[in-house]
Amino acid sequence: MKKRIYTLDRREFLKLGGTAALLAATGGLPLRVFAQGGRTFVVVSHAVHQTVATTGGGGDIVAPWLAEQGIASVDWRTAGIPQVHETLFREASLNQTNLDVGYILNTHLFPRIATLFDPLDPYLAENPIEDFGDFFPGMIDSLTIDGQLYGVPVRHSTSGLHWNQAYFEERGIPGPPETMEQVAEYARQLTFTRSDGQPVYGFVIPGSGQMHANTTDIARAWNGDFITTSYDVVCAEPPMVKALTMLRDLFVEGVLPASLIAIANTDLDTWMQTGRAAMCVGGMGRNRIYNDATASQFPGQIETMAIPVAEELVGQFEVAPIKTEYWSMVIPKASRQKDLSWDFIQELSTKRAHLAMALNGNGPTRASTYDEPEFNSRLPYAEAEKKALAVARVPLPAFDRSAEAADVITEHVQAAILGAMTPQRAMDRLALRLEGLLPG
Amino acid sequence: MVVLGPARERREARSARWARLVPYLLIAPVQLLLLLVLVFPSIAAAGMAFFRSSFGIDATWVGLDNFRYVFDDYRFWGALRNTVVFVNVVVYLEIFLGLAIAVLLATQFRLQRLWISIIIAPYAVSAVIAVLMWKFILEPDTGFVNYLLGLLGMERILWTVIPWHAFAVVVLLEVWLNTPFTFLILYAAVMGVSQELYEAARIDGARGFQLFRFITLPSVMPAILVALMFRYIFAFRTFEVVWIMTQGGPLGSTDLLSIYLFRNGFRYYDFGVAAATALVMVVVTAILASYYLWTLYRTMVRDAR
Repeated sequence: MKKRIYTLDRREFLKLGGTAALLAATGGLPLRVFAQGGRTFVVVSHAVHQTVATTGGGGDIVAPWLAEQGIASVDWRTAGIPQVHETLFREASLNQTNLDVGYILNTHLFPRIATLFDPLDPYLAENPIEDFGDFFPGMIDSLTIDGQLYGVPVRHSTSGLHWNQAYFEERGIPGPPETMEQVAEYARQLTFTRSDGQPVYGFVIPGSGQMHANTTDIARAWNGDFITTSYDVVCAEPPMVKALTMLRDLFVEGVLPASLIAIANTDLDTWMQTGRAAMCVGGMGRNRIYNDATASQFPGQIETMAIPVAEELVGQFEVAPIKTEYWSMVIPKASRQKDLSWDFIQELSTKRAHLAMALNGNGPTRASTYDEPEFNSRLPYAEAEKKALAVARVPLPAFDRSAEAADVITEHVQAAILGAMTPQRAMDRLALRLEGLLPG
Repeated sequence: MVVLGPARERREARSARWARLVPYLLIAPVQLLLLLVLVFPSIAAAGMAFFRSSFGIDATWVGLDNFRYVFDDYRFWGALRNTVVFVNVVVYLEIFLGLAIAVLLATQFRLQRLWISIIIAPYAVSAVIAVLMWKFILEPDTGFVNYLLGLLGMERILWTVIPWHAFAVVVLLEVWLNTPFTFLILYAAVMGVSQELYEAARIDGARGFQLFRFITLPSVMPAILVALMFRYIFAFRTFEVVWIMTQGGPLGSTDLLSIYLFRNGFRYYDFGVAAATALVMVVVTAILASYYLWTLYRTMVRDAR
């Protein structure tokens, strides 16, 4: 008997080819729509935004909203910070996009980019967000461009000083530092070799990637800046030079590690967890990671506090006007279901949602969340964060060439710390370079 | 003489036309694909070099402004200088090592297959994984290499502090990753050299290095040129090794043109400047490739005579 071989006729070939082409052209969208019961909601964000909105002690705040809207799930398209913005801007530049809400970092929202998003004032007027005045005013101000609001702040990361209580006790240091000078002094005492042979560095800042922002953390002890929010270049002035001189001295003395410029935030997590670093500066939210009993060798022993000011500013500031950065939710102009987008933003902006997200590890952008007993009792650094937020400001103002400015700053900060130039000379040269990058 | 009828003549003419057409039709899908994914985007990218283009603005014609910006930028010149040094050091080091190993292995000693496997192993490792692995091994404070150097009483490799250490580290990494490619090309060429040539040379009194200098080297010269050309082009666009290891630092000592391009395109979203940089890179690479192709052609013509 002849074996029957199945062959495609022309009609079948065209059908299959057409379906494949459709799937390829739409990135499999029809299948996803089918899988989600016909309706989809797309959010572009960092993975942490999805986590704090859906997982943890505060519960999932997105699930009830989805049920109410009849949507199967949110398609969270998460990536690293640069990729999130690249995707968001690329999608928002199209005539039409299936992206509904994007998360954007404060440094990336400047006038040119704002043209890609819908002003939110009309939405706010029609369907107000609960107690909108409760959001930190500094954040709302910087999200307002030409008198129009472009984003709703949803998460902040404010720096703090993390210190290892066990090492402080071991080295006979009575308590946390009260001035920046004491930070340096204690850092020297905390640089030692453990009995198991592991070297401990007294003080570490992440030097890879965001060097400009992490240097600002130190300079704020003297109320220093590279560029002020009114676009004045002040990097060559004493506050910044003093901060860099301190870092340079600590580097020469071996208190800061030789690998400083290669240490990323995630590396620093490991350094603190394993006890390679005794003190570090970083987002206060990292306290949870440093004390994580499943990963840390010092669970419950890493304390977090606001960064102290330098001696000369004691009395002027309770704590240093430290660096804060925040994410906001925006609606691309090219989105197709904008009312639903606003509904999502509205839902995630309620006081209840902010508390839930804060309990899930989010940095709340509503002042009232810090008055919630449930939040305060669970977060050991809540009071410190509230103090810091009262005076905190962004490390760099947002402008067209701010990313380039950040790279140029990093290059000159490295030159000062590694000793290629004196801090003053490096900052003088930096000032000249920055002038050419500023708007106007 | 066979006389064909008009209908049959038409049929055969049609058949001949069809036969001429078939090769073109067969290669058409590939050509179309190349047009879509290579030619059109390249033309679009080249065109973009003459526009101010970024997110949030309409592309506007700026003539040669992007090129002026690039040529006025001190970071471009730093990156170009680093790239030229990097490419030359890397490529010639690879050729030297690849040829030395190929000649050594061509002498056929024990466990040859094992040695070949070991030598080409780095080529099977993903560049990203390899760099992360080396980053760990070369960690200034706790890395294995510095530990060994310490035991020997030698200075540490401080690639995060000393610019030339950083440069040397990325050069060595690139060489480690790509010597297998050069080796494979040159090993095949060395193995292909006729034994009769060596026998004749030995009869004439040639020994050791003379055999290499006057028989092996001229015989494998076309293969060396091919390897040189490929590696020049690939090394010129090296990115991931340097980006993951040093991100161009410290102090811009490992900033290459590819990193300069990446920063402009994907950090500053200045697509016009990025496209202008890409065009400059293409031109420089094309000049280099043309030189080596021309040399290769001349060598082959000379050999043919």
